[in-house]
Amino acid sequence: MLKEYSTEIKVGALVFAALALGGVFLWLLGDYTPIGRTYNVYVEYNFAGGVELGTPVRLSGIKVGKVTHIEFLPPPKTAPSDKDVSLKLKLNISRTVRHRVRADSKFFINQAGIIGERYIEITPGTAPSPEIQPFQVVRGTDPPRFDQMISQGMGVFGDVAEILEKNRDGIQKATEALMQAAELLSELTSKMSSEDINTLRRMLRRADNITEDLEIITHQLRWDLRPTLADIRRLVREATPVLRRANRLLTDLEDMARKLRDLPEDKKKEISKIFERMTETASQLQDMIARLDAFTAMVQDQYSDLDRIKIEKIIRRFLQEEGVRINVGEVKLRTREGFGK
Amino acid sequence: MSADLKFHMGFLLALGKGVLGALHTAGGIVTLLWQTVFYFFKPPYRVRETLKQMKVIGVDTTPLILIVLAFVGAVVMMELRYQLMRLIHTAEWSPGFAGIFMFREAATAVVGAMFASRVGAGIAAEVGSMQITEQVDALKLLRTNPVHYLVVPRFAAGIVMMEVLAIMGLAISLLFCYLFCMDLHNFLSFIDMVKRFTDPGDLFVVLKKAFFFGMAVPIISCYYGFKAQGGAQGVGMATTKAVVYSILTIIILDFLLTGSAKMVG
Repeated sequence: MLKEYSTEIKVGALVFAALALGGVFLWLLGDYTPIGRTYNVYVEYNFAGGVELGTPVRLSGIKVGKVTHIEFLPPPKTAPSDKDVSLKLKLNISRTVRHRVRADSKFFINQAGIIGERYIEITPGTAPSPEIQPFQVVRGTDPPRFDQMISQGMGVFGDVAEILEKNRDGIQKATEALMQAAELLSELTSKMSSEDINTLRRMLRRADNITEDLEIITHQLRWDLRPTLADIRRLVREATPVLRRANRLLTDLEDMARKLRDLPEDKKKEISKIFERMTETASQLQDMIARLDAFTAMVQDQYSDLDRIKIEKIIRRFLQEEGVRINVGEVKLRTREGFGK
Repeated sequence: MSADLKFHMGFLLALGKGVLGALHTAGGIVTLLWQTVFYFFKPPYRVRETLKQMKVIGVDTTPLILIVLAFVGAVVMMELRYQLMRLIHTAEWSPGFAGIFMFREAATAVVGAMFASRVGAGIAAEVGSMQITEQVDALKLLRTNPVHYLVVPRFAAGIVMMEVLAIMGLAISLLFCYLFCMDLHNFLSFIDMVKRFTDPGDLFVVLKKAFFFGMAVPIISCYYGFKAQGGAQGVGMATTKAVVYSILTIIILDFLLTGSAKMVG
């Protein structure tokens, strides 16, 4: 039978071997397995920095999966913000590491070396966080935009170059002046004798010491003046609202003066008379307050055994002197405690 | 007519003859291909004859393919290691580059060239011998279409066996690549490095190219076999032409298929 069907057997064996090898290649290259030993997770990014299909996924540096699908999301309807996402990557990850991929895991996009390939690095999560479930969507960490940084850096360099270009003459003159000063100094020192040079050295040393002492003194002064400076600052703070009110008052007076300017002459004279009377009254009041103040001080000093009747008499006499008429009867007073009855 | 004019006329004559001859041959091959595909789906299906051809084309060619591709894998790995060390001072990525080359070219073009030289010569010699001994005419007299009887089984066997030989060649070449970089990589890291540079799409590229090569070689060989004339010398010429033009066709098809497979740019 073997001889009769040797052709079929040989051909069948060869084809079977080729099919088996083909299956092995598919398994090795594509990780295709009949048993689902992997699960899928979706990660969203705004910028993927060179990630492609098949990019490896690593957990703590060990390859545990790869990127199997990349989807572009529709553009946002609101103004762009840092939280925008434009890409959705599907990661196929081995089930054996599912317990380490948790809600607090971070999904970074790293590069292996300077010219190495890109890969997605998953940082292991902590036990309190729940595991990421299959087909769950998480937000990844966008890689830094070196192109933007370079572009902004180029912008800064451009501005600096522009400034230097604009001030080129000034810089050139300053440089020339510095060079001239250096040349003069060099010429000067070359013409000086050794004694003069030593004298110059001593002068510079003294100047250096003086600056050190001044530094100490000013430091001490600043330290001693601190309370005074604090008081001044407090006064300024307290004076600020008063000054603001005064400013408003001056503004109102200015408006009033403007309006007064437009009044007819007879009205102006009338208002002028009113102001004169107000001023007179204010000065009378001022005198009265001053005299009352002196009087209360005298009373306080000289009459420590005052009682109520004595106080009434004193006040009545004071008011009579001032020309203020009072009715007969008791003068009701409000006194402080311990100051007579 | 002056000598110069005769020379130029002769040049144009040869050029015209060559072009017309090429077009005539191409037309004939395409016609034969069309007829083969037509009769492929038409009974009777000569399964036993097809299996016999599979044994001749595939099983008997396997040792040659394995030896050749083993050496190709070894040489490629050695060259890659040397060149990578020279350029970037590390040969770590040599399995990846070797894997790409094996998948893209070695498993198809090299296997195809070996296939053409062995199988194409055999088919052309066999059919050519039948042609000059008038066995083909006898088939016609027996109302058996020569294309249906001779070409279709070889065509089917060629397609199937070329796929098989491509896979076998790929496997043995990768194995020898690994053997010649065992000091740098263990088996798993070797596979991992190959995987970084290749994907399942590359395997389908291998199968696609093998399909077209397996179609081209039997058709071209049978065409020249049917054209054999004048005894043993005619058979020899037919065999030579079959091998040469089969290999040329494989190279051109490889170029066209590589360009069409999203590999350029």
